[in-house]
Amino acid sequence: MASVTSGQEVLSAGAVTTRHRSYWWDVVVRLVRSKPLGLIGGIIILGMALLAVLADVLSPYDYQEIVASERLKPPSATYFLGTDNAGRDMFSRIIHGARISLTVGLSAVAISTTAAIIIGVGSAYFGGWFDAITQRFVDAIQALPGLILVLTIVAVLGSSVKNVILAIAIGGAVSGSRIIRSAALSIVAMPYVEAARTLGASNQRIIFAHIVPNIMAPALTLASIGLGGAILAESTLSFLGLGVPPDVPTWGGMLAGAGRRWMLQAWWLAVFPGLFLSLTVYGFNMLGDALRDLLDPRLRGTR
Amino acid sequence: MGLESQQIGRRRLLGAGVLAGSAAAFALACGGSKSRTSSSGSTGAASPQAGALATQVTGQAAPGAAEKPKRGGTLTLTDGSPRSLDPHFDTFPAHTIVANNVYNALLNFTPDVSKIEPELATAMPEQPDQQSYVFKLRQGIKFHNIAPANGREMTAEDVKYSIERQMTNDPGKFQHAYFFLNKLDKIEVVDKYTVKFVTKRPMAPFMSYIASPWTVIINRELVEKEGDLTTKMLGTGPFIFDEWQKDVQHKLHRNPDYWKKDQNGDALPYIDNLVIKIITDPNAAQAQFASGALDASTIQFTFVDEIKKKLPKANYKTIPSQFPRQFRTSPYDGDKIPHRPPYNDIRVRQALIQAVNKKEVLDIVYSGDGVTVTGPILPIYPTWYLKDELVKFDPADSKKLLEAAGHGNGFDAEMIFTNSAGDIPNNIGEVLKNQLSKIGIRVKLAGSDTTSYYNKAYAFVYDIAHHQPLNQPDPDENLASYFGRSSTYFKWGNKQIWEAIDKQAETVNLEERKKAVDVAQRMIVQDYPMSFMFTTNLHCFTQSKVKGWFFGNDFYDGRRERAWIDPTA
Repeated sequence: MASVTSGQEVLSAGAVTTRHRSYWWDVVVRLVRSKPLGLIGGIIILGMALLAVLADVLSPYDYQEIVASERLKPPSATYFLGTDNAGRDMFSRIIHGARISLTVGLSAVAISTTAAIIIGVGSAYFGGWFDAITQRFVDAIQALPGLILVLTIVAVLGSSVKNVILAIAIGGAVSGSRIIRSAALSIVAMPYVEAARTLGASNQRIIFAHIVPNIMAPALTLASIGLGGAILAESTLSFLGLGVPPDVPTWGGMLAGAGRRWMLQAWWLAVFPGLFLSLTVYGFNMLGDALRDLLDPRLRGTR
Repeated sequence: MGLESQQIGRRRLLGAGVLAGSAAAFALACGGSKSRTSSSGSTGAASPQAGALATQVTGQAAPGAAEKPKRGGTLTLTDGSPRSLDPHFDTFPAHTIVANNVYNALLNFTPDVSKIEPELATAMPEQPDQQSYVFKLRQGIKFHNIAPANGREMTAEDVKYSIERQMTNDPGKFQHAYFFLNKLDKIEVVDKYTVKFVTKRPMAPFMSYIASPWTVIINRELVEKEGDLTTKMLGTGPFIFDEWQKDVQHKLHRNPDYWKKDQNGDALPYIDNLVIKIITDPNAAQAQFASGALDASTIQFTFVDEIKKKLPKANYKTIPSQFPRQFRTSPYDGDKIPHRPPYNDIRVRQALIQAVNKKEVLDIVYSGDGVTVTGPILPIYPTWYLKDELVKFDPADSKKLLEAAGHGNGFDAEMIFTNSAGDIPNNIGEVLKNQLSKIGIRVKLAGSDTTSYYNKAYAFVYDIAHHQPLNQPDPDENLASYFGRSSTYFKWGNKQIWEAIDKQAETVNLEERKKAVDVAQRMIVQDYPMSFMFTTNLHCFTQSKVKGWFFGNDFYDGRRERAWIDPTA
């Protein structure tokens, strides 16, 4: 399987598709066999994703229906996770919150990873002044603490789901591009890249056929670890009142709002959103760790 | 305004980038789930003082009032973050606690806000005729003995200078010019210790405006040295201002030459240092009070039981807040700011106001810890409070009204409000949105930080808003500065209402004025500019060692000159 990093495999075009599929299948098999924590992480993520996708079907009540007579009810058979101070069903709100958390997390990471690949690979491949200028920009943005950067972007753009995603994506793209660049630098120096260049392959072909496929492993690891961070960043923004509008249920928003105000009278308002948030971030981190171990040839064999 | 439009420009520019860059789809659910009968009224959680204003503001004796006061120590209080320290030119109340302790005024409200007493004046003013007020000043009162005043004596010239400064009208700024601008004929310095005010017309609120904590006597030399009083204070009051660390604290120390004495003839104040920490998060305030880092604080209603349990000896009392909550429709001034449709149709306004169940908002957000109100004046001012509830909660009628107005399918409305001070404003927005949705109004919640909100709210160009204004002891300030012809805090271009407000301001006879205020309030409420929703209770605590002072009300709280620390308590 080490052949994935060799030019040979990619160059033998006919076999590429089938051998790639078997490679990823093998990763899954090894995840199940040798990385129990990663597997648990994967199951948690899958569970959360199912909750988010099926939120409309699974919600016992309308998540935004305010019923004054049902306020602050503790968890019971009627309300699994209790009700908030407006009498809204916490379970329905939390699974709709999963939708926001995962939407924000996945979208932000998809954008940030794509941008990181473009910046990182471009910087590594073209080198020279292009690399120098790009990397100074990256240095400048990296000098800002991540949360401050995200807060600033949201403060300037205004709070909406879209802007929160963009803010988190920008933060992630910059730091991610460094990792991608260092991975790409080692690929650029490979003899098969040189060979391709000697054979007259265009920049486009070299980048997309030789470099990008070979940095997919670190990119994927970056994404899966970044997801936990992105979800946490969304909750942080909501907690600070800069996230999505207040009537959109988010875990961070629930914690900052009713959760914090009523925590002494109604523990369930803070505990359950916090639990779902922790579980999801834990799931993504465990899965990310496992993927890093499985995909990085230098760490192969470690647990 | 310039800043705001710049910000919007940048937002639009970057917003375009956002649209281009993000490809994610956001499906927010509004699913067909089980429905539950909606009812208002009963509430699930017990609140410390649910349902009523637990304690009317009273002149209740402060803890330790009968004991012999001890000197020394530091009193640590808390308040919000001010924009400026200028008592004349900023209406944002967070600086007033500092101003109250640095400055004096000619007259002063008692802590229960029921009476006005002389302070820098030796007595209440003489009135040779209905429009003249002659104040005799106390002699030998000195400004703080620091540069640039260096302990100079305060005289009638300072009074004239201060009130004239307060009358400066600088458009676009919040100031107290509306107290006296265009209302005073002249301020005359009769002699060093006598000053005479002549009003243009009979002026019923004159005494209240003179006694306002914002009509304080300031030092001319400091204004001339600094250019303004934005960051510095110097007065004749019990404490000398040391520094304002933005968003951290104000530091003051004892004025050793203060002119006021206690009943035994001993010098006031008793404490050496006054620290006012700037805390805007209620959780932080309760944690700091519980740990003893604060000597006095108001505590959010959800934490009251916990604080009582932790600090059983702490002094505690509830008082009604002077900051009510209002749900506002779009303002207009009948001139430069047109009344935007559909809010210019009284049927639409009535529909919106009747759809708001203020009791439900109070119950859901505050566990019913407060009282609903009927009009622009709060029940803590029983002389002026509108006794009848003129607006019914009737969403069915609202729907009919909307249909008659041609808005049977409802309409979109953006609701602005500030959510800097925690999640409560967000929660109020959510409940209002829910209530308005029942008559087909599709509300977009647009909460923002205080500065952005003020930029929009005081440009008076918005659909709807929810707001927390300050209610004052004189009815004129609650009527004229919101609904009058030259209002400051809100705009309402109904000329008949202006005339009714003018009438009460010129009616000096108390009984006749009560009737005139009642007429003006009825006209306002029935023109449906806003829903006067409710006011909440303030839960006030001081540590057991704090004696000689307790919260009187949440704004006209006077000086802390009689507070003392009992280290043995």
